[in-house]
Amino acid sequence: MLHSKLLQRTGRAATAAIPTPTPIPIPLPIVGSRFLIWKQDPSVHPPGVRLSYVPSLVLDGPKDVRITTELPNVTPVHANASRDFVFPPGTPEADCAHTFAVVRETLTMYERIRGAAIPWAWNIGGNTDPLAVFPRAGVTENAFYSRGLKALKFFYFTPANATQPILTCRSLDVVAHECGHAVLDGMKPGWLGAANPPQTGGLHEAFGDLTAIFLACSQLDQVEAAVAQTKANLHDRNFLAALAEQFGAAEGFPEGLRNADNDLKLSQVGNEVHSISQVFTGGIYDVLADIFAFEKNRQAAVKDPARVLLEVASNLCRLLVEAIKDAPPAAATYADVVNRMLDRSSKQGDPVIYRTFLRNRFTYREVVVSPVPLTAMSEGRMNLADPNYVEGQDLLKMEARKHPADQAPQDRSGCCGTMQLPEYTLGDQKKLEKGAVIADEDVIAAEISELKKMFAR
Amino acid sequence: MTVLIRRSGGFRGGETPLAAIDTAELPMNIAQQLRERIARLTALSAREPSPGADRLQYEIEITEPGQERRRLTVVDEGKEDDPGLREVIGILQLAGVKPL
Repeated sequence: MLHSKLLQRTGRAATAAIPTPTPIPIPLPIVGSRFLIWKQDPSVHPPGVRLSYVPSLVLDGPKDVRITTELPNVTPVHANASRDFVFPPGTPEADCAHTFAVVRETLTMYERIRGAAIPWAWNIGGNTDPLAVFPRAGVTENAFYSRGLKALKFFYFTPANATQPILTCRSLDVVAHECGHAVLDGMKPGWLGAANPPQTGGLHEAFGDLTAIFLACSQLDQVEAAVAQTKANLHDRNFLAALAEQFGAAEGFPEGLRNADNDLKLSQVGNEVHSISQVFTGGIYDVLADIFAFEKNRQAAVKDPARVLLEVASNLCRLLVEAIKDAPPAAATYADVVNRMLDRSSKQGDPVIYRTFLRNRFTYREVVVSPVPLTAMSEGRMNLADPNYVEGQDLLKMEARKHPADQAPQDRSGCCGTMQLPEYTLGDQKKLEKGAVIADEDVIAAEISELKKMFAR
Repeated sequence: MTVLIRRSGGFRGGETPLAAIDTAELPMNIAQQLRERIARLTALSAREPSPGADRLQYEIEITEPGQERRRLTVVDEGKEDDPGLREVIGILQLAGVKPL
């Protein structure tokens, strides 16, 4: 009896004594890299140069599944032991890192807004080819986007009477602008054809300039610097509105090559796409300043103005992108986009005054026609504290103002450790165990497979 | 034959006149080389450039006696050996204008 009890106990004890391995914590792979970024360009202080964190996987290049960097005899640029791409400013490696990071931040901003991957224009039928970025493409005063080359090219030049070259890739504005073209071309491939009216070309250029503004406004340090610089009045001189400051200074424009804080109307610009773009850019910038002024006061007790600007800019950017998505696939006009912004704004329950800002600003700029005279706006009597303020009716569709140039051809004359390497932390474990060399393609294979599904349209 | 060359577009936008050439004022052999380059450029510029934004473009306006004025456009797509761009540079060099 005792024996049997002992046996049973021993048996139970033997069963219980089977060693259970103690789980050993496996460190999570470090994904994400730090980059040293010119927050505007080398001539603009504040905000100057700062470390910026890109939270997604970045391989040596720098490259990822959507973006590659090309500079002969320099790329691939290798990350350091912490997977960071931090190099002394002015070096070719720093230019590669900077340009890649700004393109990545721009794409990420729009993907967050859309909640999905945004295809490049050629990502159709399962194609997942990335966008190639050339930070030092050659000598000329330019930067451009080419669908045919699947590339952004950034050039450099030495201005007359200067000894140091200006590299367009070192400007966040220029890089974001060109990436904006690529993003918009992915969303609206019919908008780039030269057969489109001037305003469609203007929308492309305005989207580029607004991309630079919205990108800056999506970054905490930039909104804080802008709010401090302007005492929260976006119509004060500031680096957000001034685009491509260093490039502009070289061309004799002290307030940026273009400035979003302008008062241009359609009758004051020609058909050249950059010239006409300033009207739409200026209108959206005014609306940003208006909504910011309204929300800053409304939320003064609960939020810092910098936070309000970050949120307001993000919401306006989303509204613009959704309106563009809804706009015609070709030959879109400013009024097409403004009317879709009004419609979306109403559907998402924005305060009525948001739409008053939109109608007023684009009426003033001769984009749409108001059925009532906007005397309160012109006389500065708008009640900016009333969320339901409206002049006339809360119209969601405005008549486009006709201009002799509407049907004119577009004038186009006018970038330790080894075990932290992604191939070791994110690659195929079985391949690794067999001693196989894991290529970059293996590391990003799952992402590519996912993109193929998304882009199989 | 007169040839006007303008550069336009780019990130900056706007238009810059580059050269105004009158073949009557050129030595005969240079004028002949210029005509040959214009002929090659005419064939090349028939190509449709791929879609893109902010690229520089060169407009060459040609006026010949008894013929309608015609315009050729060459888009700088950033290719090292772009034959159209090579012809534009060649024409500018023949006219004594500093290359682009």
